[in-house]
Amino acid sequence: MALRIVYATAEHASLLMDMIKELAEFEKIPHGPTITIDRLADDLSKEHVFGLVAYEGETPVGMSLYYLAYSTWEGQFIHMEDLYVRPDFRKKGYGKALWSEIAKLSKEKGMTRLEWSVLNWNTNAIDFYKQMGAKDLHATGGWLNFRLGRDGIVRLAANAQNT
Amino acid sequence: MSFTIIPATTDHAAVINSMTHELAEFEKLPNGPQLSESEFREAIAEKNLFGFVALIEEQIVGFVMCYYGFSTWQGKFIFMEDLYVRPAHRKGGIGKALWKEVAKVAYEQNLRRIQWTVLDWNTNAINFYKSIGATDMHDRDGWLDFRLFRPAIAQFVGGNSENGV
Repeated sequence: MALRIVYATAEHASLLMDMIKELAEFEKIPHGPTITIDRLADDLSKEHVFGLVAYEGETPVGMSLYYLAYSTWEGQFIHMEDLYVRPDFRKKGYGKALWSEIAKLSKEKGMTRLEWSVLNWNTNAIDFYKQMGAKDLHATGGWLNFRLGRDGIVRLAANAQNT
Repeated sequence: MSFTIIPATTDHAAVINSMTHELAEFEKLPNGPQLSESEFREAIAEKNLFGFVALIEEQIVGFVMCYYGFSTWQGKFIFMEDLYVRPAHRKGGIGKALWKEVAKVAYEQNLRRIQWTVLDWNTNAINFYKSIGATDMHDRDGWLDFRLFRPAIAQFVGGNSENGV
């Protein structure tokens, strides 16, 4: 059965949410996902996030979700947020096909970079990334990724000017 | 000297663009910035970038530029792309004030996170981030950031023309 990749719409939100949770389980952070299906549907329609859904016949087998980021050095680029193929459908080239679609979009839009994150124990994925010529930004440039959560935002915002 | 902070507009694009070069020099990556002034202006006009500038007597002495990202776990968030204060105006609270304006935007929109990157040798910045309660995501969970550059994108696409949309 041939692989078919379609652009995600709000109608895919429930299916995508299932796969987001499956991926989080794989990443050993099952409580990570906290957004609702409705919110995802809304964000898909407002283009805060874009997606691809892969089917084998009528069976959904994988997905990728990405957003448009902006580098003050090189302009707009795609940040690939999630890429997932269901376990029963692996080793068929579907992951690579999803990657190819994202890379094709990047190339067509004249983008100079494509970025994503991976957990440091995911050696299969890391090996694949290195094979495609991708660079670990910490190893090659010393970049660290920091995050401020809700509590920190509240504290910092409390004293902002013009409040 | 007292300063004010206002939202960045297209009128500020030229100065902010040149200050990204100053920041890149500081980051020891002076060949990083490749955008023209008009590309920068367009990015602000189309809201691909948003941010704030710090003014002292109508001169821009610092800026912060951000965009919105999307986490499949926590939804829309702010990615803080650049924050810079000119050397002569440091130690005056301008950096923290710019940070607070970004935090205010995140707070008002009920966003769950702000993200950014920093070079591992920039200990002053890292200490500030930890003091406001930020977390190094590699330390905490083991996340690594990967990037595929343009030649590798082209090469990857060239060899893989499978079923498309």
